Amino acid sequence: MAAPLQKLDDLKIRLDQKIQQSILKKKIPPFGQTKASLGFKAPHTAEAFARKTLPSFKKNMDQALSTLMKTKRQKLKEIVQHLKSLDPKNVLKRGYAILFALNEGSVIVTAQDLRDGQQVRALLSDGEANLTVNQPFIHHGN
Amino acid sequence: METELNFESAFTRLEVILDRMNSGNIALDESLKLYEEADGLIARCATRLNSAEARIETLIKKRNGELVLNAEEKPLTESFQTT
Repeated sequence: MAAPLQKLDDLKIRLDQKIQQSILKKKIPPFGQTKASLGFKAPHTAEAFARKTLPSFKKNMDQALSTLMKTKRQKLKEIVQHLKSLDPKNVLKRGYAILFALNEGSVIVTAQDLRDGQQVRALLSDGEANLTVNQPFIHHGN
Repeated sequence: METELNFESAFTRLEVILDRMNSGNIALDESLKLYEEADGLIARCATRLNSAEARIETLIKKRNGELVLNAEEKPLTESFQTT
């Protein structure tokens, strides 16, 4: 009974060895061969792909950046033009002046805010001047 | 804090100022202050745009091999030789 069992053990050991040897001998084919064996007739390498697509990618990226910058500059130009039309100093060109309290720097809108002898600063279309208030009076009924 | 304002933040603030000034319900004093603020923001936006464009131009030239940069990412320069 021992002899057949021993034979079976020997057989198992030899079989394991054969399996190990066949695994070690087995070669992994190069990538190109694998692709070819899978049916790729004209395999493109990553380098060739990069060479082909990189210039157009760069061009597209440059164009996208250029468009982005143009859009931003145009938006800024539009907002500048809009703001210029709202410039409160535009009114000065029509013969008006803006008066500032000399110390506070706040705009004086009414005669009630003026005191005799007070120093004010007048902003005109092309410059400024310090003025001294003389006998302010209020127009009643306005 | 103000010096760190990027283009988008400055532009958004400009839009807010524009809306406020367009409202028609604004005191002269405030409109003057807002206009002055807008002036500064416009200058900031323009500076940001100019610097971004210059950076892009440098990058493109560098990529095309037209420009050699030093360690500080500034174009290498050479003194004129007087012979």
